[in-house]
Amino acid sequence: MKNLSQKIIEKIKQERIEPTPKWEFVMKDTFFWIGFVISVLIGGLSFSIIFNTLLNNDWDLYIQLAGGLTKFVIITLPYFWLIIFTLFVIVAYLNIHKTKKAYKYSLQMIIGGVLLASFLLGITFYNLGLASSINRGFSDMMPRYHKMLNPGENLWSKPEGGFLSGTVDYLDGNVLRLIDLDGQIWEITLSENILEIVPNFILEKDFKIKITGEEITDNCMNKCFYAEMLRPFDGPRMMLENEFLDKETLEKMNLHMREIRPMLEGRIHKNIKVLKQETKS
Amino acid sequence: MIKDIDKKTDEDLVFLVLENQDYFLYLVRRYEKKLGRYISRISNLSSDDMEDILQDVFIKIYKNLNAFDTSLKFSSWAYRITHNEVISNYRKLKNKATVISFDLDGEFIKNIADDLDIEKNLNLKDLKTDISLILNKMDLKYREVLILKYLEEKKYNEISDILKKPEGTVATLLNRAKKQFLKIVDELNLKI
Repeated sequence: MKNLSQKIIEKIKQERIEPTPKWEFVMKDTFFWIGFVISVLIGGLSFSIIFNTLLNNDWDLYIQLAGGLTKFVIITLPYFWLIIFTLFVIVAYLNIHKTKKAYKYSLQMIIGGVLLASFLLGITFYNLGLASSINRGFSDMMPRYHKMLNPGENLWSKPEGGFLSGTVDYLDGNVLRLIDLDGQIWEITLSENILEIVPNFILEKDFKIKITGEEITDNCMNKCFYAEMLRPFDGPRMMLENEFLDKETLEKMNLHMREIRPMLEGRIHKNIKVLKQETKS
Repeated sequence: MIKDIDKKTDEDLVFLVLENQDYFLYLVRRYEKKLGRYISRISNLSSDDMEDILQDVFIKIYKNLNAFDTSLKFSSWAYRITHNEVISNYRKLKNKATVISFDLDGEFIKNIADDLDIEKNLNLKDLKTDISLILNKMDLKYREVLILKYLEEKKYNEISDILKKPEGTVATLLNRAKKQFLKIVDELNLKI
């Protein structure tokens, strides 16, 4: 013990040991902080999509779609995004845990803080319209996985049960053509009571919609469907995003809606007439 | 060398070492006994093994001087490095461990006896022997927190900085350590 201090100094000198430069420690700490911020941002984005999915879920149709609330919830929960969210909450915790002062806070406090930050960011991202854009972007980028990303989509791929969804392919005069999620083409006849078109929702080409009604098997060359109700694929609350549109755009959209409604109604009457005639004959 | 070096704070010395490594000798001298005793108290190691660890501790302190956060006390930071070094060597050296001989003074006995509601009227020598026996039988994590609190006389915030645990966790750890202490008293049928 007597000569220990001397031995240490000699060792430092002999082995030319130097203090690690300060920038290395600063960089290490910054790296973990950046990792933390990125993880919270991704967590926030995932939460905004979960929030969007839950808020825009077809709660009004849960009995028709799944037969019961529990089953409906189990089927439509966005598992992929829940896993991503959980994963990034853990990654955020692991990053912040490596920073200098994190040990002063308990696990519950850090996880609580990360969850709160993700929720607040998620709601902000949702209000900015990022959630549906990302969801749509992912579905377009990974068409094979869209059912995994949105498990509730399967519920809308049952034309025999009265539920159909897809992208508007053609819309003109009396014809509304839809390409469903499996790529099949459908000719849609709209009911005259089809009033559940969401306000400000513009039905146009490439728009994804959900339809309830009945599959028509008689007198139909291709696949045909009689629509009693339609709504945007992203859900009935999609128009909430319009709160962030300016007045002028909203007026334009309303005008467009007023313009197309008589056309849609005319088309409905015509189709109903044809259907009635065909049924008589 | 600067005059009145002994009047310099640890933090001042750290800055001086970063300018001139020769000053590190003074830091080592200030802490070698404290840290050496701390290693011995928590690790049951022989004095040779303890010295090896202590040497590594000071080399680590020197290498990481730029990471020293001045919002901490230098002693807490040095104890933290020592704790980490002991933990990382503990499994490796556990088999070589001997029985720790604790230099328990009257103040320590008084403090721990007050906290654990131990009969202080017993013979001080017997009490010392019994407490040493109990500490030797305790888990490292519990023994360490008791040593930091009662032997090293560290405050809760300092123990929190040394063990890198929130103060609430330190309090819980201390509570569990006391329970284990009393459990061993029962198991050994000690009359304290």
